[in-house]
Amino acid sequence: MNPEDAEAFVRARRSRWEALALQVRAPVRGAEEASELARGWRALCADLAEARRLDLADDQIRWLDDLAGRVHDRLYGPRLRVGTQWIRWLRDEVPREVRRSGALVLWAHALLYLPAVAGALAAWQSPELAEILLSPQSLDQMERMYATPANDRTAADNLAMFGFYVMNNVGIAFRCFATGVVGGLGSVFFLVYNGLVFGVVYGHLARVGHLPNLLEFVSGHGAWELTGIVLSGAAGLRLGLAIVWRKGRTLAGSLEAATPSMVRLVAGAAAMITVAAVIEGLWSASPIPRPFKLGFGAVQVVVVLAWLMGGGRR
Amino acid sequence: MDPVDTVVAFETPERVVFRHRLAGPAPRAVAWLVDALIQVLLGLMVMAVALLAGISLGELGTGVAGAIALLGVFMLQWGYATVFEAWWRGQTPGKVALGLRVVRRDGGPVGWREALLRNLLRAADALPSLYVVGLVTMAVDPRLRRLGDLVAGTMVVAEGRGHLEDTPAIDPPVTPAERDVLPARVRLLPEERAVIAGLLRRAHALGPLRVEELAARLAPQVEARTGVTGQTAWRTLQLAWVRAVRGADA
Repeated sequence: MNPEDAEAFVRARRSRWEALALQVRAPVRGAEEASELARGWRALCADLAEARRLDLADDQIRWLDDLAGRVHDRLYGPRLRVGTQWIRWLRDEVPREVRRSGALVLWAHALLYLPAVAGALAAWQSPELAEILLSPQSLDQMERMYATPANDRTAADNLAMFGFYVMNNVGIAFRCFATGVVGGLGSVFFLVYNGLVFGVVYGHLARVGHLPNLLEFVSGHGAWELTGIVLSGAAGLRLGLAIVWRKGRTLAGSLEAATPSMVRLVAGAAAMITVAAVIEGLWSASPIPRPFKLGFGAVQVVVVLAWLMGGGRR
Repeated sequence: MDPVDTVVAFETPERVVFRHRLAGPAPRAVAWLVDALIQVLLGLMVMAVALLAGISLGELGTGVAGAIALLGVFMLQWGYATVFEAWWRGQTPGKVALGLRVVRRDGGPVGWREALLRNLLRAADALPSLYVVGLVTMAVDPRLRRLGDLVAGTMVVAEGRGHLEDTPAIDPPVTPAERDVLPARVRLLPEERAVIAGLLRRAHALGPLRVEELAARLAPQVEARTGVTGQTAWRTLQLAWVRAVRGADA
């Protein structure tokens, strides 16, 4: 093609393109702006085809490509909604997903609780077995922590502990999910390891007679926290399975198919562990009498079960 | 199997193709560094707010301060990139600075779902340290994606290197002496024309020595076919280009 045509073409269209580049920087508001942007887009599509035919210089084509990418984003991208619909999403979509992925969630439960039972029995039998997993120092520390009922935390400590629980526990859940990328193995490890540790702590404290104090502390938030860890583990297993067992899909296709399920499980896990952190920080170590705390804990088990089993059913 | 290339084409519903250039590990690492610095600065601001709250709230102060500091660090650690990428159409401040953008596999912008997944998977990409896993994955993947990108169905593209300026006129213009020996008609292959135009457009950035070095690789072929000769290889290409493109009036 004649390069002079190309230069004339750029000169003729340039101001229109630059106007479009400015316009696309702001979000689209209202039908009129949307149809105006759509007009600009259709003109740009025609121009882009013409630019290729006229053999424009590489960096000119590149400028147009960038612009086309941005306008395409605005027109065809999802509109980002920031509102209250995520509450409904948590209430309905997450439990639906948990039931749909029921087998995986049950497996994740087994991977956490079976090692926990084994660890508890072992530590209950002998301190030597407990010391295989936890150092004598940390067992000692646990003993001292639960030697008295956990009801003497000040309000200030409560708030700080709430922040710590969110940071620490949600972080653990996210890592438990992310390491599932190696065929689910990371998630399996995190579930089994966490199960063993908390089982050993239970068994050890039962042996030395501090179990009631421990139960008083954990009853309120336990259902939320443990189930949250289980859900993040299930998400990691889903991720690992999608990579290993593709059911005839490509890797990308398999991951794409698993994405909505993973997002719902992980978001559900994060929400549950945040709820657990609120309870753990503000309630679990407060001076409320023990029977109330245990009763509240029982209610939480029912709430979690009712949400996961019944949420989102029509 | 896709060809190994850093250019990815997308076809729009209008049946027009536009292209994105993939971003490699180097600019992404720099963007990450910029973001890390911003995160540290924001973290310091959170700490300052926490301290002020701690001082001014009396008895509850230490608790509020602790909660603000810990929650703030948590949000910065896990939420910074997710929120920016979902909100700013695939860009964090570091990516804006480097002209990078996250796009979906189909060319569309990332939403909450993609931003959340690709940034949660940072925990896996960053293993064992300094993003070694992510780097290896990028090296293996034809689209330079790290694990998080693979799972979220996204890729990182580089923008903003193009411009619309005309190809500059040759400098100095054709002298009468040169015009006397220039053939009346010069035909260049399309690839040759593109290479010379590219050199003309980038000459100021490359510097005269580098331009001459590059020109020397193409000039013998052009000289042999067209009979155009200049004082240097670069001048040969300039003269051939002017006559081929601008015709007799050059």
